Amino acid sequence: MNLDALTEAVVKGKRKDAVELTQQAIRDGHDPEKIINTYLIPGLNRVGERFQKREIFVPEMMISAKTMQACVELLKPLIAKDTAPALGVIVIGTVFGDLHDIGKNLVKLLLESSGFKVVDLGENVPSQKFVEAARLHDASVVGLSSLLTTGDPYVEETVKAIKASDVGAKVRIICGGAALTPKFVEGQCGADAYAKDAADGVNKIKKLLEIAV
Amino acid sequence: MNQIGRDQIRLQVGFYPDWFYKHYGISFDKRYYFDPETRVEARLAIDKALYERFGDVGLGSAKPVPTPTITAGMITLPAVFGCEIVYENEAIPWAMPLNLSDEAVMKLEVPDILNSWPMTEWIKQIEYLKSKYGRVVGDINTTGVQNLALKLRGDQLYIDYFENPDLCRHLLEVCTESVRQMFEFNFKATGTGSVDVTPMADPKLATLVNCTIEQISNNTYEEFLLEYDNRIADAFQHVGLGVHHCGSVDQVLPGYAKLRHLKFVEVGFGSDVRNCRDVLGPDVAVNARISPVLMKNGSAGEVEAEVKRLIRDGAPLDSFSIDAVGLTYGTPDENVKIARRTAAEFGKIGTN
Repeated sequence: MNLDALTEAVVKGKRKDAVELTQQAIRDGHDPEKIINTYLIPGLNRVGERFQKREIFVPEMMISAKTMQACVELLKPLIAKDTAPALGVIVIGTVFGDLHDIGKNLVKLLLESSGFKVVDLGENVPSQKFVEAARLHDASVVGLSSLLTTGDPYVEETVKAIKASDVGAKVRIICGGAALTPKFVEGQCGADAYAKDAADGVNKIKKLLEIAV
Repeated sequence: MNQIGRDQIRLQVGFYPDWFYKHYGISFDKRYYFDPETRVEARLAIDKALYERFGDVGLGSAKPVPTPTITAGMITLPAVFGCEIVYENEAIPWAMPLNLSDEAVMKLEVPDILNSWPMTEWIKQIEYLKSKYGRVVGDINTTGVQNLALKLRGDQLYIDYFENPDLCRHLLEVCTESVRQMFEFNFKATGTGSVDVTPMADPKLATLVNCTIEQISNNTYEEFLLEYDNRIADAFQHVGLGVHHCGSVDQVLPGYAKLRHLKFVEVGFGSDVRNCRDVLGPDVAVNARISPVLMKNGSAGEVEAEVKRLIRDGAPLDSFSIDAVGLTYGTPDENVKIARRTAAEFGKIGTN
């Protein structure tokens, strides 16, 4: 069975086809981990690249991520727990004063599809809530989203609150959204990374955690 | 002066509520929207503050006069459908998405808008302002077809485009008819259909609020939304259609070029303005927006360069304008002034 079609199904967001191909691959005895790493993840990576080049847009990205998620759900129970990839916990939210959610939701979807556990704090999130959630969930990364420039002081406040807390030495911080620039995020606020868009965010998180992209 | 009565392009600035609140204590909480006299007072204070700060570049008024304004922000139709509305001192009002289920969407019908809250409140205010001041300025923001659909269905709408087109069409039908009825109300009540969307359009146009179209491809726009936007265009062809678009317009320009009776497009930062003008033609007025991030964090030199670039790309200038809106607290005054001065100096109509 040629599983390249599975990659294509993810790229094109053909959820039904992808699920059938995954079921067939399982029946044929393919290694579940290999299906994820060799066929599904490269498919989603291609989708991310096309999104960054503005060849595709939010709906195409979402349907591909949902397609990947549906396949991973079939494969997860077949992977032994002790060998299952544990990519880490990511706490994400939109900073205080901002109720926009689409960018943050897209990042969440992509991270979950890629195998991360995501704790979504929602929108309008005060800085201390990020700190508490990072501590409670033993987060590897905290992601801040900010669409409006009104959020700048809250991005800075949140980054500094996390850095100054007991989890500050361990947790990495990434910030993205239309209002933000690398200079502000990494230079002024002292975060570990700036994300240009959702796909870039997932890649940067993997780099921060030294996970192969 | 030329036949349009101006010798230079318009460059307007608009400050986000936090700017007024943090500098002057002017609040945009629920009272601003629900008490018309509070709003009249706030508008007077705004005009005065802008004049004191930016009178040298033509903003505000030395002797402001009361302006009886109706405004609601982009929440009315979402609220009519049941969305929770969040009001803050220093932010625009925001409708929280309903995230309706498949079943709930398929049961949706066009509500009795004029007899639903908050329309009942706006109608009372319009009557009050007309009786006290003899006139009313503004209109109720109609929002746009996809904007409204997203408030009702949430992000799931984007999955529905692929997996449930019948549901999409039902939802978009309901949204389109609701938007159409709002425009119809506005034209009867105040005679305008653009004021609550953008000050840059001819107020008499029916201007659709297409903030979220930036997130979809042209294929999706043409397959699902063009038909409905054109339905609005046809319904108001006697006044003409305007489109407000956030972010880059580039990918959906082919779709927008198929809109009937199009007179005005407002494009967000990142748009290829030259291409936009070429594709839509000189009869469609274009307003190009400057990024509020550049206005806040950029240098005066960078702002000046951006205004010059837009003027260069925006010709013919008799149907071109620029604005910088959403300017938040922390935006340097100098950046506002340099933007206005650069437009006055380099945006002469008839020189290119």
